[in-house]
Amino acid sequence: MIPVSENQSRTFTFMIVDDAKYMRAKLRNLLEGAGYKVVGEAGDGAEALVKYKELLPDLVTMDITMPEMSGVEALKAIKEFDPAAVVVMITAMGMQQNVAEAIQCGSKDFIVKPFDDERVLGSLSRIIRNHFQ
Amino acid sequence: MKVEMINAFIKGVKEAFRKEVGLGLEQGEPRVCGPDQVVTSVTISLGISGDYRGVALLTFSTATAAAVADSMLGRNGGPGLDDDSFDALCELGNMAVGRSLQRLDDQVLRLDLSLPVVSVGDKVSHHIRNNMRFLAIPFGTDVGEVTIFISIAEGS
Repeated sequence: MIPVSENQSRTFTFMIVDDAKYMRAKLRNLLEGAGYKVVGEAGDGAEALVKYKELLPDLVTMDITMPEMSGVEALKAIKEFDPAAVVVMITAMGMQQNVAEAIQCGSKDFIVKPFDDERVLGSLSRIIRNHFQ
Repeated sequence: MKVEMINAFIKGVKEAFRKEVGLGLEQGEPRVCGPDQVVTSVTISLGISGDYRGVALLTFSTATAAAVADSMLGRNGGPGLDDDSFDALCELGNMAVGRSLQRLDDQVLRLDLSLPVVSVGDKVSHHIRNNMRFLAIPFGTDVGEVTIFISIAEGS
């Protein structure tokens, strides 16, 4: 497992957005195991927007196919509220069109499920290095 | 149905089970059948839209579904099929079909998946029409058989 960066001066906070409780638990275990703090979870895009405004996490992991509001719509809404928001898409829908749309809307990376833990943690380390340090 | 599509589903389902469940799948003999031959106890249904339209059904016996879900959830002889099991199985179906469609990505422009729907019992009604023809691909596993039924045609 890739450890949290040694020169990190604080614990970074996350919000996990996925309609599957199974996946939220899996990501929480992975992130907390790497030393990050998960401050909230949301089961759809609409809930994600509400909780983002309330919790203001450093980073958000976002599924795409969800009820109420899709991950891409939620990404757009979050970026409209906070242009500096850092969002990473983690989804089963890895087609080029989905990737292009998410990146165009401001997603910092696009990870396809089922994922390797190292792929997720490596991406997050890189994003933290580039955006917060 | 094109051979490339069949291969995409075989590889996609195998990959999802190997990575997410830690379960090796041995492919059986594909067959073509109608909706009345979709025999199942637990079914995860996903609608496909875009350049191709149709449905994919991931089917299990109750015992196999429970064993697969327990493995995903890290449970040893869990309480049987409960809400957490169905949630995990839906996510597995989502990943298996999503991975399969991704393998078709160089041949198509746009594909979307519906939210997965779980059905228990032998009557599968979600996304199914009487005139559909399915390609059924069975897979053997250590915990029983898993079959994916696919009915896809080029979208209009």
